[in-house]
Amino acid sequence: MKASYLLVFITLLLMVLGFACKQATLTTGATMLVYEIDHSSCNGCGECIRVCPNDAIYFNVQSKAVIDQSKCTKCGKCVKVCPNSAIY
Amino acid sequence: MWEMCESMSKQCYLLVILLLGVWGLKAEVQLQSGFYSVSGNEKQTYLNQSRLDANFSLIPNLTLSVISKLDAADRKVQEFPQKKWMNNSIGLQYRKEHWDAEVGYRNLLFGNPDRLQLYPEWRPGTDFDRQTQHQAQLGIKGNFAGLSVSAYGINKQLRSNPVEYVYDFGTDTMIPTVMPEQSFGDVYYGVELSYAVKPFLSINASTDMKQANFTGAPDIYKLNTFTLGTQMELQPISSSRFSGTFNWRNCDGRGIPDITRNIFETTLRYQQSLGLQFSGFISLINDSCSDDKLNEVYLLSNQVRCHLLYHFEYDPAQASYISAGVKHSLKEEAIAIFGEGQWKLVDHVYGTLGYRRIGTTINNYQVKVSYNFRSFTECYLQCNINDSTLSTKPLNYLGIGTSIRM
Repeated sequence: MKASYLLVFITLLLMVLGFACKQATLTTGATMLVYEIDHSSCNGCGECIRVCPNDAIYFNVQSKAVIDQSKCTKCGKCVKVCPNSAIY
Repeated sequence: MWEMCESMSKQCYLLVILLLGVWGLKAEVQLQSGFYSVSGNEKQTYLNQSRLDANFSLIPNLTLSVISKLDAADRKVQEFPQKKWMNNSIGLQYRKEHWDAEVGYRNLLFGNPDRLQLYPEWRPGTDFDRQTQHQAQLGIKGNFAGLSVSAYGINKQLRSNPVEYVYDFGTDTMIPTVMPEQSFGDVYYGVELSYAVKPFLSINASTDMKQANFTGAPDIYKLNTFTLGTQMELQPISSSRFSGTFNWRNCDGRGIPDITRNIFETTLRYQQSLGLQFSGFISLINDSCSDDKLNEVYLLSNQVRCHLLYHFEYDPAQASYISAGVKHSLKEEAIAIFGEGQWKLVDHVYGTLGYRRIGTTINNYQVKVSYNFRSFTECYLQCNINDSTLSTKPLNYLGIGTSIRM
């Protein structure tokens, strides 16, 4: 039981560290942008695929939109059209 | 309006054929269609949005699903680089005991598409007009005593006409030359292993591969990703749930900047229900990155999101509700707010009001009145108005529609 609590604590700590990274150096250059899609908010409408000028978004097997980072030029058009604000 | 009706015949015929096909199979069918007048565009625009969803149980454990979505307008709407767009998919899903397998085909049709620089890193001076996209996909998942194994494969082929520009010395202009239609393919495949260390805690490892599958495609479109992560889910009391995930993702590809080769994703989510009427959740998402040497960690994005939903008791159909949410990007200090409410006005008649504010630039108002014949069958009048300080203003929509379940 104590090992379980320790494991949970370590997991939570790892998760919180993800947020603690904000204090690190912050840059906002274009190369720093990485757009991701929150699948819990994505409804599979496909508006992002319609608007993408670089064929950089596709549907996965679960019909959720996925961004192909090898093609994404970070234009941001998909962010504007998403009705559920699922792209961040 | 007449131009739109004439020009959308190919996609419309396809939708009708699909509808007759699934109706013949006696599938459970949901059909929605709406016609809208769009203002704020260069000229008055008319838009049709239709959707068909059908599910059919072929044999026990085997389900056939068909989805077809059509967006057709007589002019381009906002930033969408085509007048018409159709998304069709058909899938077979098999579920039994420890196995879950699905195979499917998806097809995207682009009507009157713009010419786009689809591949600027590969062919910077060449435009492409997207015609059709075909996608075949396969997914399989198995669960065995806490160990979960899943794999997928996707083959996507985009049919397009490249347009090359040749300089004409006589007229001192670039003359576009449309090349024969070509196919540009991408193949995505991957496998994931997940093991439940404890009932509330699991660890996972996955690899995702991607290759550009067309002649002359450079390595910049090749991408390999390896992910290690952990997922936790606790249920302190029966009406609440707390979940969290942490993933480290390593991306290897020529097109990936060094500084974003390692991505650290963290999500926390808390859900709470109070009886049958009230539910809500709050979630935090954070993405950070680092190069392979892990010298420094940089922030990519982080946001807090909160949603609340309340169903009114007076409506026995539970279709009257009020919902509100807020999304705050901590890094960009931007807030998006939304609120929506639906109320039963009189028997069979519902009214819906919605409001959405994005940052300080866009206010969106929605009004809808619908008459419900029975569950999931209605006709409605809908209005969507945007008030914006942006130079390119969002459009306003006014239209009627219907939704039918057969």
